[in-house]
Amino acid sequence: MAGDREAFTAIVERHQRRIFNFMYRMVGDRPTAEDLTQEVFLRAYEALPRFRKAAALSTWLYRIAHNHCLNVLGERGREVVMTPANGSPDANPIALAADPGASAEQVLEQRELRAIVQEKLNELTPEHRAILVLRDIQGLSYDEIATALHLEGGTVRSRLHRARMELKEKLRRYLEA
Amino acid sequence: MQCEDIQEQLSAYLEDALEAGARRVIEDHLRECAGCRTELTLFRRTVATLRSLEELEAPPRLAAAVDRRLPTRGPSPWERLASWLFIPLHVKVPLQAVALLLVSLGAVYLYRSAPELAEAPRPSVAPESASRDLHATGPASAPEEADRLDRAARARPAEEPAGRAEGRAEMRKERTMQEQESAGARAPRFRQEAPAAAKPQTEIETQEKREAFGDTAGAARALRKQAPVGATSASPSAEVILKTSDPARAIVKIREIVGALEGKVDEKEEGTLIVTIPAKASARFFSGLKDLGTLVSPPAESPSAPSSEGPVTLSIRLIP
Repeated sequence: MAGDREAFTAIVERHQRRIFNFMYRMVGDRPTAEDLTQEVFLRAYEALPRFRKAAALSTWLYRIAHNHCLNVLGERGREVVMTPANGSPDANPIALAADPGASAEQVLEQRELRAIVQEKLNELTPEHRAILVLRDIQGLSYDEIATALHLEGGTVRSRLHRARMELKEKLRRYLEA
Repeated sequence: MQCEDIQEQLSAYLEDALEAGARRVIEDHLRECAGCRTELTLFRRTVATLRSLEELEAPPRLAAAVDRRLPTRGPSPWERLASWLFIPLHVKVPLQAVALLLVSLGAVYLYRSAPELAEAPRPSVAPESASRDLHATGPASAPEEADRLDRAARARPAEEPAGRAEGRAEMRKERTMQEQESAGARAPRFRQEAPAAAKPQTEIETQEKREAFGDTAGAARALRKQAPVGATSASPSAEVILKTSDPARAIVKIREIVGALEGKVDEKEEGTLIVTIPAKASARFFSGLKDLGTLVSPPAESPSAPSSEGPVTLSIRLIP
């Protein structure tokens, strides 16, 4: 019905930024992330009658997004993951990452850094990537992550630590300079 | 504590999720272990880098694109029903008129194709018209119609209280007795009264019985009396009331007489016999009855009618 569609469009507008960013960090490509985000909302529209209000709508959408992403990545493999080639592996931009007073050159290096981090994120397993995105990029609580990824709280903590440790090893050469 | 154990808790340490004791142990170790301090620095930079990643704006018109891809669901059955119920009158009224016409035509067709429906008795027949119809009814259907009206009379307790009907019957009986006494010890009244009377005896009896049982039942009994002798052998064609001082003896005698006439006797109820005799033997039978007592209510049509053929069934009621 028209009323349902309008209400759902409002939901899309409220949550599209979070879901799109999650998808982008998961696949590393904007067009692909946009397509997947649309598909997530289409699935949510079909599943909306089964939505239980015990969970937050945003958490429920994250769960749909995570499941859909795992399915797509499982089907297409790593084709959908784009590796940014702009970053120079010899540069050492990590130390500048948290410096707000960086020069223009340093800002450029920060952009390169982000590209490198995204590249290394893409090399992680989807499970590790998802938990890093949800916790360290999007800032969800442990409980929200547990609900979204359908995990126990202890599993969330241990998986998050292993994901960080893995990413740290991948970035070590950039971080040690 | 080994370095590996310390590094396993770096996430909890950075997020300040450790208890004070565990946190103190880690800080003591970091103070002495340069390698773990380096790992902590790298770990902190990794998390900081992740948190520094910019959040992208959602693509423009993403919501519109989603809306375009939403499935267009058809109306549910309830929605279709509701829309049908509220269709415009200029459409609904002609539809209903056509439906009513079809139903009416179907009813007429059914009525005409089923004769039993056309001939079914109508529940609200006026008594006079019923009587008139009964008189006009052909001989063949008269007994059946009489039975039907009998049933109708029995089904009228609400209209005609039983006590009132019985009272009328008693009055009629007394009047009959008085008439008979005034006639002396003559033969049964149906033989004594002249046919030139104002009304035939049959009609008099019919009217009396109408009064006694109600118009419908009276008409039925009159019809039964008018039925031709021998029309049926299953139901009595006439009712005879015999007043006798010794009913038990009378029953025995009637059985003897009927046996001699090659007829048969059935005792329907106490004091009432159903007698079937050959029509040609009716005169002899009535002659025998007169020897047993007084015929209070002989049938108007004498079984001795010369044209009668076949068996005659009579109901003989014995009263003391």
